Amino acid sequence: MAFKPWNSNKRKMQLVSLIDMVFILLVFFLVTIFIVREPREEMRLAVPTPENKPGRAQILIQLLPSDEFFMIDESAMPVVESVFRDVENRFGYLSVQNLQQKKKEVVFRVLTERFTYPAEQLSHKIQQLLNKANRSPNEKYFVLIRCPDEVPYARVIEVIEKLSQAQYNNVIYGCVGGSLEQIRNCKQIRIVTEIDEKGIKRDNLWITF
Amino acid sequence: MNLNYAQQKKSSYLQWFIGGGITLAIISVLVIRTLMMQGLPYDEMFLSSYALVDSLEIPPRPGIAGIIITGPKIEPVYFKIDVQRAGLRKLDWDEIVAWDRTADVKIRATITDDGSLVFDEVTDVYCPGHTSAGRIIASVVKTWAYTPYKTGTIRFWFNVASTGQKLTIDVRGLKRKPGIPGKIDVFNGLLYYIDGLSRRDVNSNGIVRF
Repeated sequence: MAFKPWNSNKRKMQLVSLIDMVFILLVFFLVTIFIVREPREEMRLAVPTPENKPGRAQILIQLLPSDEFFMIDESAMPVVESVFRDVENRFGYLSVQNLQQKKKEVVFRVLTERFTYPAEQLSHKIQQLLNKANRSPNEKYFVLIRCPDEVPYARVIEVIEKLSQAQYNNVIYGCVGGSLEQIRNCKQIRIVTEIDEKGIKRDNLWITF
Repeated sequence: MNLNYAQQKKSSYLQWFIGGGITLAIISVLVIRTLMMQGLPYDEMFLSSYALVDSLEIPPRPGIAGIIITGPKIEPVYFKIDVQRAGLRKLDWDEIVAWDRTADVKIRATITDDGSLVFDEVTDVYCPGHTSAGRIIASVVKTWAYTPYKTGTIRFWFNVASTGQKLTIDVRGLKRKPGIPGKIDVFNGLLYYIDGLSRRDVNSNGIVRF
């Protein structure tokens, strides 16, 4: 076998390999610059995270596994007030704690009886809300959608899709997991008079889990 | 042979020169870029200088600790002359001035639960030397009625000769009517039903002594 004789005069630089290496270095430096910076800089990023606070909303839509939904808004407030008055009159002899428990039970029963609708009415109820929102574009309506684990998420998407049809984009929504049972077993249901950021006094329904 | 070697040598130098140039250029770009990015916030490092500046609106986030359903507005109510009430008569200030330009009449009245004004024209009307003015004013004031949000004693002092406060209304004896929920604010509205009297001539929180 004939080997090619080594000739020192024919030595030359392999430019292709050099360019390969330079580009690999380039990529390496580009990536590492930001990886090194990230741990320091990410502390400045304002990432919204869920807070352990009650969610404020004008409308609550609770999806139910039984092809129904529970929906309450400010129209539920007079019902709650009258139930509270009625319970106080009828069960005034109970201790404060038991009276609270009784109020919670009765209010929950009355609310679920009056404000639970079959799924077919969802479009109609949301359309009513959209009509209201379209009539007052400066008002914002926040809808809280609660969906239990056993309900397909497609139903939430359906609600969101309908809410997105607001003419002035003044219907905002938020989704959270949770069941009607959680509301039934809440710690307390009460009406609190508060003054909002516009200085308007309102009776708000507080459901504390 | 020698010429070929010289050409190869020249070509080799050229290659070194090109490779070195590229390397130096890349390193220069990296150094310049790194220097330019010094002090920039992390999220701006990837934005070109002509990129549109925009911000994302973070939607209200429902909580996990509970739900607050915003309720209806609690509208305040106004304690004022109830113009819907039948038999209400308006006092004409110019007429009073025409009758008695120095009239000085004080009336102490009680507002009942339904907002009516009740007083005795003998004991509750004080008008020394101005009997006819007192009688005329009292007869009109007696027809006044208020929205039923406050009860108690109200006093009027008609001082026609005054250049400042021609009418003083003392409302310190009024209290909000029992039964009105505490969360409802009760404000004072128009407390007199008189034509021809400027608002600045009226002090509706003054002190009227008999």
